[in-house]
Amino acid sequence: MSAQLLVDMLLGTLLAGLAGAVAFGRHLFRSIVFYVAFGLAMAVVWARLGAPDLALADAAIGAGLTGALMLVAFRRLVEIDPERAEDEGTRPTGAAAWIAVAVAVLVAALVAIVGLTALSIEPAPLPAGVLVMNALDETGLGNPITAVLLVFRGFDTLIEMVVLLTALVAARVVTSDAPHRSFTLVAEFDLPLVRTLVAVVVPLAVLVALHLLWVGADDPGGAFQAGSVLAGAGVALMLSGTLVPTARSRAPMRLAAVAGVAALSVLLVVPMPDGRPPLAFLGRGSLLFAEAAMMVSIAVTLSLLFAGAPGLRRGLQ
Amino acid sequence: MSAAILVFAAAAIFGIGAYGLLISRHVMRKLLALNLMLSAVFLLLIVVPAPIGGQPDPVPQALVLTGIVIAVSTTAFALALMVRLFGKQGHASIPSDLDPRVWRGRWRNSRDGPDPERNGAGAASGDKP
Repeated sequence: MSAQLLVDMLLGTLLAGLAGAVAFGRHLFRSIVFYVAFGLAMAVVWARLGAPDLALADAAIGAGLTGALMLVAFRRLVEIDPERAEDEGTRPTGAAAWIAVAVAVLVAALVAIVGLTALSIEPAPLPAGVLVMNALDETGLGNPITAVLLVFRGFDTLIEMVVLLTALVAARVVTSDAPHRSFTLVAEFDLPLVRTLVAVVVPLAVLVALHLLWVGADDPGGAFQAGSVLAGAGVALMLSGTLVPTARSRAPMRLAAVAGVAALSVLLVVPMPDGRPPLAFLGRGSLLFAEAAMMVSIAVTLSLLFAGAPGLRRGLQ
Repeated sequence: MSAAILVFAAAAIFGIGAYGLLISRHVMRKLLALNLMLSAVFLLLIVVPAPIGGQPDPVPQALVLTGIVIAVSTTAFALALMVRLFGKQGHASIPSDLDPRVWRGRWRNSRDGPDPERNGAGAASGDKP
């Protein structure tokens, strides 16, 4: 028991320390690298709490893709103007800085009070989680989180896919009339091991993604984790020059980006003629159909957001 | 007890993120701070509800999973905006709300009514008819 307590204290201190290194770091690049470390520490905490689905998602998205997006955005700033990429003028000093400290301490105290109060409240006799576990047998699924995402709260997931698509379209609108800049590729440095590494890592990533998709109904995994692992493979392919950003998007790319919304929309209307509610659960086959489409959409959307370009094509090498 | 420790960790991360958000002027630093605050909220959402069968409640887990994906897509959009801002104005900073010059501009606006030439740090002196 005391060993568990010690582990929790160590993890909590690690998280707070890494957060401090992100916020107080002198160089932006170092802050981003510490943020990636923070995401990995969060994944360890999720694993410690018994939430492997969140650990997978945070390792792939929180640490991996967010870090990659931040680094490539920083890279673009350096390419436009290396002198001013980190420049932020003068930070508030004196009284203004003390106000920031006071506000930060106050909100931290507020969060602690809210959290501790919520912990001390007697739990509801039948929380939503217990209802989910009770209804899980009717769905025939083994993973309650997948059941919540696609059976009990399907509308949330549909709207989430719409948000992803909106972010992609909005990023395209913002960058459409900007001069197209492709980032410096690892391939240009001609490192002999990169190509070999990519040749091993990418097929493995595809295999892991398909495995996560397949087992997601019963075990930790699902469309989000699988999609983000695939997007990681996409990032590796772009960095090695195997995939190259293009200024035009082709039809297959666009179809892949909307596949998740389309599949969930189909599942929304299919049950309705029989008098069942929209997005009613139609069995494991429909679940796999929706999750596969979502995986493709998530992977393509995140890859395109990383590329900062409307489309991708195979590189010349 | 271990839940209480992680609640304190979440509070510390949230406070550090709030400080970073207020004090930094670089948009990417603000985004990093916002993402820290998000992680603190996610941690709180998972730690606080009573575990079911030794594992965290699946409903908040699904909500956090959704939140992680939404966070990465909005961050990507904000980064695209930042790169565009950098190209337009030559630096990626926005005025801090804690900058006294911003307060003075706001106070003037509230007294004289909003005037596009007089907001913020670079107040113009010309009078409009």
